[in-house]
Amino acid sequence: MFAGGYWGKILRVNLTDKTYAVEELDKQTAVDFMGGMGFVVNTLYNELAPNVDPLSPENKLVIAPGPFSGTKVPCSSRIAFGAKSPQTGALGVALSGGYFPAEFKYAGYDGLIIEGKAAAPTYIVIRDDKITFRSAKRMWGTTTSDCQIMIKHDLGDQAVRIACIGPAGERMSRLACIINERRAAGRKGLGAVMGSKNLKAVVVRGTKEVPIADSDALSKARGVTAKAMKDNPVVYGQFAKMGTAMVVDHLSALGMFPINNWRDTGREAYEEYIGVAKQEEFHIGKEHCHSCPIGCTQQLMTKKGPRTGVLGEPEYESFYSLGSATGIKDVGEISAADRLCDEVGIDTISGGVTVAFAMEMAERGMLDPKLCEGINLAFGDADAQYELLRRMGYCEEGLGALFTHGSKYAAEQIGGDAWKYAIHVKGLELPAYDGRGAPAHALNYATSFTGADHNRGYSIQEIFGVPVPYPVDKDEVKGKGILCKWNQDIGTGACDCPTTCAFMLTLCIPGVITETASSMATALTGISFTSDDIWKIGERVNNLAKMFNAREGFGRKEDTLPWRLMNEPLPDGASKGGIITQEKLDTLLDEYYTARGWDPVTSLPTKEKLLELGLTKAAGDLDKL
Amino acid sequence: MATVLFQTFLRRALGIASIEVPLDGPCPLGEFLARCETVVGQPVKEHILDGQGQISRGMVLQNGKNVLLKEGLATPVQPDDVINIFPPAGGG
Repeated sequence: MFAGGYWGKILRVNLTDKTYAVEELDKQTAVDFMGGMGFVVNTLYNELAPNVDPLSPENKLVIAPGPFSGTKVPCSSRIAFGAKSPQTGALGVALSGGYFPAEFKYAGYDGLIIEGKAAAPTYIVIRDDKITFRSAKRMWGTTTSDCQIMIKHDLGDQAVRIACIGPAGERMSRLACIINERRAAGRKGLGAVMGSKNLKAVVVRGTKEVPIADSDALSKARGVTAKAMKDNPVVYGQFAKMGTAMVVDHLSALGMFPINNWRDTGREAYEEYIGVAKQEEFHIGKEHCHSCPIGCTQQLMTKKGPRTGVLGEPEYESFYSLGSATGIKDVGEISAADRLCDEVGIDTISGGVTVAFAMEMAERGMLDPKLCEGINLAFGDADAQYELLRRMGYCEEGLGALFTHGSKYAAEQIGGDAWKYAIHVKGLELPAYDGRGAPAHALNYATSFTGADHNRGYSIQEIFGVPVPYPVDKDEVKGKGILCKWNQDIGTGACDCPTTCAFMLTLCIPGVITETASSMATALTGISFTSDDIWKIGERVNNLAKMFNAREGFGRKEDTLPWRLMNEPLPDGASKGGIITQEKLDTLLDEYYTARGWDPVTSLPTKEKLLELGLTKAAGDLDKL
Repeated sequence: MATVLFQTFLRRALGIASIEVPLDGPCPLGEFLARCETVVGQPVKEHILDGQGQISRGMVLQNGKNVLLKEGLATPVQPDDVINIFPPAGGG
């Protein structure tokens, strides 16, 4: 049925019964949703009933690469994981890179749906057409690196690729992530979903070559992408050398690098402490994902103190969440904390920002002193950060249990005014861009269906001055609702569904990415995808995801921002005075909902919009809300 | 004197974080950048202008505002302005 790019097969696994079935991938689904995030969102909307407990056997974990994965399309080894998120209660989707995505594709499937709950710790092995369930009893309790080593020995095969959880996922911390190699499907607590199913790992080994419908056309389309990558001065000139961490300098200069739980943004020049020049002192190597010529993952080694010798691979987000957010000014300590998060298996962003919240709670005297015995929970204390992250990873009684589920949960337990200082949207902690200096980026935090997620609608125009689709005034509010929709849809349609690395959009070819995505998709699959189709796919997925959340009770009220961003202006720096008041947020939301064709009062998609996108079932479901 | 701030890798490439450029009156940005190169003694424009000589990569802010929303390279720079030059960047 498919000429290329797809296998036409979805693997469905039931952990309760230890059974599996191979189902046909419907061609219309491929046309409408392409793959990756599109498949995940479509499957979860159609198969999960509302109000499912995210940590119950009724939740489903869906894993899907895109048609680009496992091919020679540059930077295409990406895969989407999704479920109802235990962290937010909304739809949770996270993407990972590395080698697991390509290997998954080589095994011969376009998606994997995991249902039920195993009776005992288990890992699934997918070797082409052979599916087995193996005991994970011996690996239960291991860190993610050790788990991967043990499984390879257990199977007698060093070539398998593994996506696993650490102790945090086993204990169902809502911040738990899924790790493959040292990459992460980091956010939304998807590791806890695996833990709730007694599923330690998904292991893949594939021998099949992904078919290509038109090799000559693909080569030509790839050539356009390769040239765009080469022409961009950032890609090989900087990004390949220092990765995303170079963004520290940029955001700090803009006065938007959040400091001390977002209280002191702009007050200090953090680039002096942990910017690129400092990072270079710790740099010892780099890593590539499969099919990526860039190699943006930078390896840093801690050189002094109790974490000497630890090798970490912190991205920009970790320099914020485990650095400026918690007042840590030491690159080595940030890197070591990043490594700890990966090993115990918690999201570095939510983990660090929750630590920052804990530090502010301690500073304000809002924590029981008995809980803090033996730990100096203060901004700038790297030992305290490391120890609290460890306790969170193991859900240890006391501080660990209080903070392991994130700042929203902890604030609810603490009570009083604690909620004001919890920096999250819908329960997901904010990423490393202080939106008080960039209204479209803040609006994306408020509206992205997963909670505050920079990857869902990154505002490259405000932050990097990319003049596509047009140049913007960073501080202006008018027009930012329209811009937010544009960023969300293009990221989804051109990157998260075909699956290609988001840096292709932010760095390389923002002006032509829909054309290159459509030409490569057409050449690979033999299905005609136009640039308009790519846009429509992005819009369709965002609408369907919104409907999933609407069924769970999310409306306009939940599209909001933390109290601090709405009540405390940026205190200093280049964006001093920036704030997103309720009035500003309402203006942004009204414009955004209108641009989306959604009802500005309820925030829900209109029936007309859903039918326009071919979402007939969702249009019918509107009447039930 | 107009103040020029160089950011991120431009600062490292030039070896300098900021300069003061003497101005008697308004000066178009394109010409102002040439004067910056005289003060710094190194190329600056090549880091932010594309092959057509336009600002399509990076960001140039005049007192915090994007010059692409003003007159681009024709934007008049005043003697007390702060010009903030961000070379192209990206990432997560």
